[in-house]
Amino acid sequence: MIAYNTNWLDNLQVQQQLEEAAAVNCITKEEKEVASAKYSVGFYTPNIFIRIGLFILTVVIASFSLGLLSLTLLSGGGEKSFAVVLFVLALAAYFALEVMVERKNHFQSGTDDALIWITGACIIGGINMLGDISPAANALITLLIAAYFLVRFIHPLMGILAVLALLAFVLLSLGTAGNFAKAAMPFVLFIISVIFYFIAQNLSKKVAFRFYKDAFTFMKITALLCIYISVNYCAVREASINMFHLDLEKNDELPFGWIFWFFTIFIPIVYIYWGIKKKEVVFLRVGLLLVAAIIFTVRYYYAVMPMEIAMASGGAILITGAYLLIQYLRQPINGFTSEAIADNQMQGKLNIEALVIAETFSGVTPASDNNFGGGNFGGGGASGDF
Amino acid sequence: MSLFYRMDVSMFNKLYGEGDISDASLEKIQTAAAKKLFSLHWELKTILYLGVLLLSAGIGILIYKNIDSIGHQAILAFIALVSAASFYYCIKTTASFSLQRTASPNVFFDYVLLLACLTFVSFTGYLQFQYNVFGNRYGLATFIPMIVLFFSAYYFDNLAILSLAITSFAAWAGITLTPLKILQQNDFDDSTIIFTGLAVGVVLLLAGMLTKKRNTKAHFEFTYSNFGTHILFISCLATEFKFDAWYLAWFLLLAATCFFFYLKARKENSFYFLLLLSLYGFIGLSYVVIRLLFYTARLDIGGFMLACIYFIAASIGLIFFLIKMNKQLKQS
Repeated sequence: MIAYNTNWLDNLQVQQQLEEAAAVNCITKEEKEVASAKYSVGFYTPNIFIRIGLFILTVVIASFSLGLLSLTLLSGGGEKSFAVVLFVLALAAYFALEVMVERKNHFQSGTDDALIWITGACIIGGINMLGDISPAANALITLLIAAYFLVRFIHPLMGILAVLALLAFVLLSLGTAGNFAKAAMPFVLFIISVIFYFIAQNLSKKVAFRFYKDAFTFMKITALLCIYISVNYCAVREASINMFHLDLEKNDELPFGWIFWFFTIFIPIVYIYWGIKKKEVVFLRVGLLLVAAIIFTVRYYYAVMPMEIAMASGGAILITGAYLLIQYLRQPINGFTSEAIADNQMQGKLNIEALVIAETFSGVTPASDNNFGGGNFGGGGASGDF
Repeated sequence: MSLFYRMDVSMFNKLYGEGDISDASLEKIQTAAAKKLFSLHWELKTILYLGVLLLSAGIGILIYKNIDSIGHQAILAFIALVSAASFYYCIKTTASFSLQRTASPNVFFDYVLLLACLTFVSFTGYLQFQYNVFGNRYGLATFIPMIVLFFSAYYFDNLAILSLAITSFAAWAGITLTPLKILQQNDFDDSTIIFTGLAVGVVLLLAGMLTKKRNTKAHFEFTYSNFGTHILFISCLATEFKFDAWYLAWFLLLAATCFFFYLKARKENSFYFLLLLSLYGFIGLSYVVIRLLFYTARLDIGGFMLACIYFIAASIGLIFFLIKMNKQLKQS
């Protein structure tokens, strides 16, 4: 079922454990060498930057192959013949993918990542060229393709895509049904997301699914976010107006709005509480992220104070809160610490942090303009070690 | 499968059973797993980052909107007070200065320093904007904050401040070096900008080399080199596009730059610089090929086919190059 050599996948996990244990000096270098040799891995998995390079170049090859195929095969043909070209490319990309994995032992090498996306995109593009496909049908096709690649190539991002495609399919197909279905929509999506979370949670503990651990973690994060979005007041209200043409004026309350207000504020608190109680980093981070969503949702409908005062005082509260927490955790309490835990990617993370800060805060524009701007918003950066 | 690492004691028990690890090592692993702390370090950093971002932006807008009612002196005094208080805290808490890497006293410190520097930059900016203190010597108005930023970066050993210092150095020279705005805000059709870019790139790379050679805050090297590399490569490409009568000559400059980074990547085992030189080099080479096909040889549909074939062949070639280099860098 899995395209990759499963013995090697198992050994890879052993190697990773050895690597980390050796990095914190729990085992000696010799022990690591001996055990690594015993649990050898034959995959071709290059460094992350080489992986990015191989990904980009594979996409370039595919794009220009598409150009070349179109130039040679098409002469004034319509959309139908372009569909054929796309299917040919999809077939070629999938064939290349299987060969790369089977013969060349590529595993998360950038090439296999790119070929997965190219195959999927060409199939969906080709089907849409054949005729009018409804959005719901597109979601269903995406779901099937993502599920296939998830199962066969254990690709974590395909897990996210599958969850989103399933929810989109439900939303788009139920959306055309009667009024009751529309009213029940938030709860249907909510329940599906909850079920998805528990399925992923349970399966991730099963030995048989051990290779899907990362994919399940991504799916859990997606499910937790979708649980929130499906019943967030702002999301429900705006979706009802835009998708289902619910007639609401600017200041009208959503029917049964209090239920959604309750969820909007309650869910992040539950996530954070659970994250702290169980020391689940996924819950904690998603919860913290959603605190921002609470603030935006409330401010969107009830602007109690001007933006700039809200920003300045909010900033001051965040800084003070962080300061108090750091003081409180000066000695670790209940296993929590404010100190960084040593890891071998620390320098890389610090470099990214510096880039993000330079991106957002360098407001000094070139001297010739004599124009001092404020801070700019946004951020970005690469990832991985250097 | 490396994204969400957790120490798996049962796996080490198994390895122990097979005689791969010693009693002492197993014991170390068990204690490490038992007392493993849950770190809130990055969560706190994110909160502090957002706090400083919101506070500085909020105060900025507040001042902008109320400038008539508050009065300039009051605003200046307020900004100066925040800056001075933050710097005072930093000077009191920092470890003694050293030319080697010094650890930051705590997470909070880094962001107070950021606040101190940001308010200082706004202070000088405000002075110039309102009172024209530096007259028409605009260079001086950016030069002073730049010096303070560099000094703070070295004195308090902070990479983020160093990045701000480097971008303000570029601003002083006349170009924008902020990562996502490097292409938008610089007019690379202007030859002054292009040559400034080349010069800034070379200066930053030299600074990086010296940093390492002299062993003065050697861990700053990457930040200098990273900014220098991007601006140098982009300026090289810009020369090729702009002075297109001599594009082949300028392509040689790009090729030489690529070769320089090839040596650097080999020497430092840096996959990152290898990727950068490959991609920037690829863009420059593709420009030459496209020009030859469509301007020099004036081909039409056949030219498109040749271009497609070129891109496919060149990408395959580059893939082999990257795979080969990956092997070599890994071995050494």
